[in-house]
Amino acid sequence: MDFSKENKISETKNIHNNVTKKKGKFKYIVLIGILLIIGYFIVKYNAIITNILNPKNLHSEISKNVTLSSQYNLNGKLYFVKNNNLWEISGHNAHKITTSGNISDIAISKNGKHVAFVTFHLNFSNLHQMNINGKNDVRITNWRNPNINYEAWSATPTYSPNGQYIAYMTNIRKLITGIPRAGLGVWMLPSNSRFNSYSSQLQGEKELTIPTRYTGGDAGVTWPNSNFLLYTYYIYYTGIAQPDSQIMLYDFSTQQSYPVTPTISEAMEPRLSPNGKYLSFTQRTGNNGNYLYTMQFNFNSILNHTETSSFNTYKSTLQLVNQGVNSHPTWSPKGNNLSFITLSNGSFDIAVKHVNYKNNGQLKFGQLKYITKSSNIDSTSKMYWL
Amino acid sequence: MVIDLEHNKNQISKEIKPKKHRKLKITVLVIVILILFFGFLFVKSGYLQVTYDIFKITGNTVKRTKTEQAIHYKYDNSNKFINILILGSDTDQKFNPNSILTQTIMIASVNPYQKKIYMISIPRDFWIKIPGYKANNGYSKFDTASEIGGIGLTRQLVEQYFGIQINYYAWIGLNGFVKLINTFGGVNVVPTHPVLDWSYPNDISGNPKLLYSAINLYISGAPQYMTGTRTLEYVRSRHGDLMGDFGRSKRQQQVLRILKNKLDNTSTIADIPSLFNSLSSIVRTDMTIPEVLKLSQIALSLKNAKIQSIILSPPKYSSVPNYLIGGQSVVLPNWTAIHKLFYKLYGN
Repeated sequence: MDFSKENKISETKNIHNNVTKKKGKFKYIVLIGILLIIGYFIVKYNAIITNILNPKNLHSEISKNVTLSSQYNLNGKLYFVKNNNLWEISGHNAHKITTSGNISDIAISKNGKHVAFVTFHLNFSNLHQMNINGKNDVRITNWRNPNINYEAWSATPTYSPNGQYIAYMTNIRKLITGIPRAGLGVWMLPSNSRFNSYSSQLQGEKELTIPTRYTGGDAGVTWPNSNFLLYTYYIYYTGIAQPDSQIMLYDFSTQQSYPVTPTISEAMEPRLSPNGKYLSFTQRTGNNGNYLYTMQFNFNSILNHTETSSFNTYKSTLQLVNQGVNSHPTWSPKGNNLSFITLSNGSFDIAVKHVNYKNNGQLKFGQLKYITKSSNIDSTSKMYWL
Repeated sequence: MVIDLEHNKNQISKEIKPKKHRKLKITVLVIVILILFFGFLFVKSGYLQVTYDIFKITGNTVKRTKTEQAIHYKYDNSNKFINILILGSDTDQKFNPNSILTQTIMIASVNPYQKKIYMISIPRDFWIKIPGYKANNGYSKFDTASEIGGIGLTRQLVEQYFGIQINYYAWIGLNGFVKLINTFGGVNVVPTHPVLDWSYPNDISGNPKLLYSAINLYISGAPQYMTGTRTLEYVRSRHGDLMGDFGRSKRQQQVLRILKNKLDNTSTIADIPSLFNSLSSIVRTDMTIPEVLKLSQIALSLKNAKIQSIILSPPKYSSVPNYLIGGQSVVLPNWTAIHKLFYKLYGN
């Protein structure tokens, strides 16, 4: 018997078995590895799908907090609305003042003690006032009614410079005229009014402007000076399927409105600088944009304006931001900064530009800096910087 | 002792053979495990759902009528455009599923070669002759065509009156629109003006008692974020507009442009499954899956193409919307001006 050959055969068998075993094990390891990798990616991908399908992914639900940018340290106090609550930014701190979640369209009195705001409900909205700390909420208008034809809207209040009156937008004209088509016009009432309703006598309500029918009405009233109000007026032109907007001035002495910008300007959201010499505003563009501008403001020139004369002050218009969606320009108390809400990466945030006053009366603006980041500020409410 | 090597070889191979069988068994087992594993992941990850969703949306062919087949299209170049008829319906619960009133009739035309996109809104109140309709000497509003003869008749009339061939249709309901916007995460809109409506239909709550009720609506004119429901209110409201349907057509086109921009800037891999999911029960089209994919490809290649939005509004293309016939407020089309426009758009 040749044992050496037998050993060789047995050795060959062993080697073959070992190799087969090792190969088998290796295959399993590779297979498990591949499965784990594929599983990881699919589970990861599935999480993305679930995240998108989840309705909580909606804009307003994404961030509940306000994130401040390190780019800017704010002097004074800036008030704004987020998720229907009143917020305040001071220095590098953002503070939520209310938690009720029903606040829109804020206005802060010049002395900083009161907040006028609007609560929206199905079919109507009401004007309220409370202390700046969110306490002592009092309803000023009561436009609720069992018949929806007698319900109305209140919107965008503004305080008179002495705080004794509030001007705001409402469509209660529809009850006076019986025409439901009446849009929102500018009305004013004493700020200490309570529960004004149709069934009782309107307490000191005074109609200031009559809106053009079928435009939705006027908008964005501000009261920078005891002599006049500024607001956005909408009007149709022949052949245009939608109304165009322009900025108007309501003069208390003549009780008349005067155009501040031309009729086809698409200008809106007027805000006068603290020194009363510059008007900031926004202008709609055709591509769903809203750009930011300033122009020189001269009260007498506006009052003396005639149809044939040109808009001299409007010609001084300076474009600040010429891209994206921007709204609610808001001057700092000294007028050396102009903040505004701007759409950035899908989120409405607060930005600011420094203002330099040149000797020739022109303004020069600094670079855009963000005050908040990814904070989804409520862009329909005005801001106030005290 | 002589060793029979051949015998040993055979012995070894005999011993190895069962191992070969074992190997085969393991391979089969592995394949089965793999199939089960991938099958599980396929179902778990939502791919099955997506495939099902796509099947539900696509391939809803509506037969072309004999009249439609015989239509001679006026513009030579119109076939180089891909023309999609977009139909937006009123609340589905109010109508028979096969005869829904179309609140929105729009032609979306894409020319991949010239990189052109047109969005043309056809006024729902256009007063036209509808085959088979007996009242008013056969005349009715354009929006009733789908109620009378379904999507097929609407398509036939669009082709007949506007002289272009419609390649596909896409229909979307109200709840579908809301879901679509929510899938996109809402939209940021600069409203054309404040929207005030004293008789906005309160019909998407699902409550049959409220189906014919109305609410007051107010949307601020300030730039704002809109959810699906808010966006529907914005594009659907018409009572507060002087131009009624024309005003809202403008808003509809505005929102479509925003959606296109969103699509251009979205990682589509992540969004497509959810998009199909949200569209599955509320969108219908006669496009096939390959056609949808092809069109998606074309859309991606047209990222920077400008959209030309057209509303066939007065005074050039139609009468003012308060023209009354038989107690109905209708719009009379100015066909001469419209055909001139279509020749300019499609004939060159």
